[in-house]
Amino acid sequence: MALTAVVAGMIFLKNKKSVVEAEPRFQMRPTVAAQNEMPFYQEEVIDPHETYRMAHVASMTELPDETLVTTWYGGSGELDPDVKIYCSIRRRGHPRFRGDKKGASPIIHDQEHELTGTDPFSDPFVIMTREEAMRELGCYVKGLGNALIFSGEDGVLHLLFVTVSIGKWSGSQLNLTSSFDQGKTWAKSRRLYLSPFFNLSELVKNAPTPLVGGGWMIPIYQEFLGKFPELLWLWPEPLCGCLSLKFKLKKKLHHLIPWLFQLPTSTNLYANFYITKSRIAGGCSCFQPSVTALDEKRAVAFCRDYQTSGKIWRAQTNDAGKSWSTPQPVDLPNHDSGVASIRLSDGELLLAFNDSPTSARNNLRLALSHDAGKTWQRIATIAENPQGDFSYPFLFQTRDGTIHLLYSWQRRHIRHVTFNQAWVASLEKK
Amino acid sequence: MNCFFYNFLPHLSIPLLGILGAIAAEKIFGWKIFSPRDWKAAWIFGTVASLVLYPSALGLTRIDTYSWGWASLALNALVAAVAIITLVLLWKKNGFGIVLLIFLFAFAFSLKASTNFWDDLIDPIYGIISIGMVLEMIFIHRKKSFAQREC
Repeated sequence: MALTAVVAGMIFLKNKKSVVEAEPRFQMRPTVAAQNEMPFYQEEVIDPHETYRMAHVASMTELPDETLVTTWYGGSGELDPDVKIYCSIRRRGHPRFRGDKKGASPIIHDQEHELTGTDPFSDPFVIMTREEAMRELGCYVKGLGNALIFSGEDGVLHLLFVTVSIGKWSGSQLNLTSSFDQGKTWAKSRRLYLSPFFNLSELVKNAPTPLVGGGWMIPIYQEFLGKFPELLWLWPEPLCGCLSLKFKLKKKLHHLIPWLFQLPTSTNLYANFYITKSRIAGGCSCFQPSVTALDEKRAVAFCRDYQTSGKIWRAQTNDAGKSWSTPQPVDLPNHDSGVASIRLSDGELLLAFNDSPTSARNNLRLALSHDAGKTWQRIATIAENPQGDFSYPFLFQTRDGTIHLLYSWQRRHIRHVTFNQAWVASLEKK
Repeated sequence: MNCFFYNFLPHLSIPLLGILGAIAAEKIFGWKIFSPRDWKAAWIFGTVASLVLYPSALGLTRIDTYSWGWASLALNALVAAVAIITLVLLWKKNGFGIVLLIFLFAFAFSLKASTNFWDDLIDPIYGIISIGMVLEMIFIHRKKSFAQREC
C-alpha cells in the first residue's frame, strides 16, 4: 500500500514539471509591410509538370534565410496506396517577383493541364511515401493524407502528416518528422498519440501558431463520431539521444570550422516535442479550424461548417487557447469546404474561402475583416469557373510582408498566388 | 497482417493486459488469479472509466476529459482518484488492486508510447467488455430480485 503512495507521488512530481508549460503565449511573427509599395499580384503553378491525377492540401513555410518550402500530397486519388507527400523549395536569391499587377502575370492557359508559367520553385521531390511511413512507424499504413510543413526561427523544418490505417479519413493518425537540412533528409517519423479510440481520427490542414518559448499550437480536427476542432500543442523538449549527440558534435565542429558546418540561426534547438491536445469545440457542427493570433493572448478560429448553419464558424480565445467562446456562424457561406485565415501586419484579417452555399467549390474568394473576423468584406475573386474545383486554401505571410495563397486547382495541381498588402489595400478602396 | 495488428497492440491498456494475463494463466496453467469479486471490481472500474472518458472524448460535450490525461491539475486529480481506488482495493485484498498498481508503475515510468494517462488506463476493448459485463451483472441482479419478489 505504501508502494501505491510512492508511485502516485512520483507521478505528481513528474507532472509538476510540465504544469509550468500551461501558460502559453502566442509569438507574433514580425512582418514588414513596405511603405509606398506598388500593388502586385502573381500566380503560378508549383507542380506544372507533375502527371499525378490528384494534388491536394498544400502548406508552406519560410526558413530564416527566406527559403520557401511547400508541401502537398499527390497520387491517383485520396487514400490510394501511391499517394506521396511532395515538397518544393524556392531558395533565397531566386529572382523575386517583378511586381506584376493582376492580369499581367505570365500564366498560360492550356486546355488539358491548363496552367504553366513561371516556375521559381524547384521540381517537386518526394519526402514521404506510404512504404517509408510503414517502415519508420513500424505499422500498417493504408495511405497518406494531409501534410503540414512549418518551421521556427531555429530553421528546423517540421512535417506533420496524416496516415490512414483503416477505413477512410476517420481512420487517420497524425505523425511528426523533422529535417535539419532544409528538407534534404528527414528524421525518423514519430506517431502522435492523440485520441483514446485506438488513436484514430486526427487530421491537420491549417497553419500553426508559434508560441513564445519555442513551442507550437497547431489547429487539428477530429472526424469520427463527431467532427470538431481541436488544438495540438507541441511543447519543446531539449534534444536527447542520438540527435542531441549529432547536434553537439555539429556545434563543436561549427565553432572550429564555421564555414563548413552551418548551424540553424538560433541556438534554441529542439528536435523533440512534448505533445498535448485541447479542444476548441465539441459536437458535430464545425471542424477543420484555421487559427489566427491577434496578440499574445487573443486568437480567433474560423471553422468549416458541417451541414448545419451553411456559414463559416468563428470562435475566440482570450487566454492563448486555453478556453474558447462557443463557435458562432459569421456572415460568409460555407458548405463543408476548407477555409484559411491570416492576420496582416496592420491588424486586419484576411480569409480565403469558397464563396458558395452549395457543395460546389467552383470559386475561391478573399474577404477582409477589420473587427477580428466578426464582419467581412469580400475583396477579390482568386478563381472562378462553374466547372472548376478550387479548394483547400492555405494562407501564409512571409517576413517581407508578401502574402502567399496556395490552393488545390481542380485537385490536379497546386496553385500559388502571391500578392502584397498594397494590393489588398487597393482592392479595399475599390 | 502482423503489421496491421501491431497498429492496435500499443493501444491496449494495462488493466486489459492484466485481465488477459489472468485469463491466460487460468486457461493454460489452471491458476486462478482473480476471484469473482476481483472480476466484479475490474468490470465496474472499466465501466466507470469508459463513461467518464469516451462520451466527452468523442465530442459529445465541450469538455474534453481525454485532455485531462496530460500535464494539468486534472491529471493530479485523476492520479489521486486511481491511487485511492488502488489503496482501497489492496486493503480489501482485491486482486484488481494489483493490476491498478502495475498501471500506476507503467504510467510513472512511461512504459507505453502514449504520454496520456487514459491510454494506459482504458482502451475501447476493455471499455466495451466492462460495460457488457456490468449490464449482465445488473440484468442477473434484477432477475434474482424479481424471482425473490415472486416467491
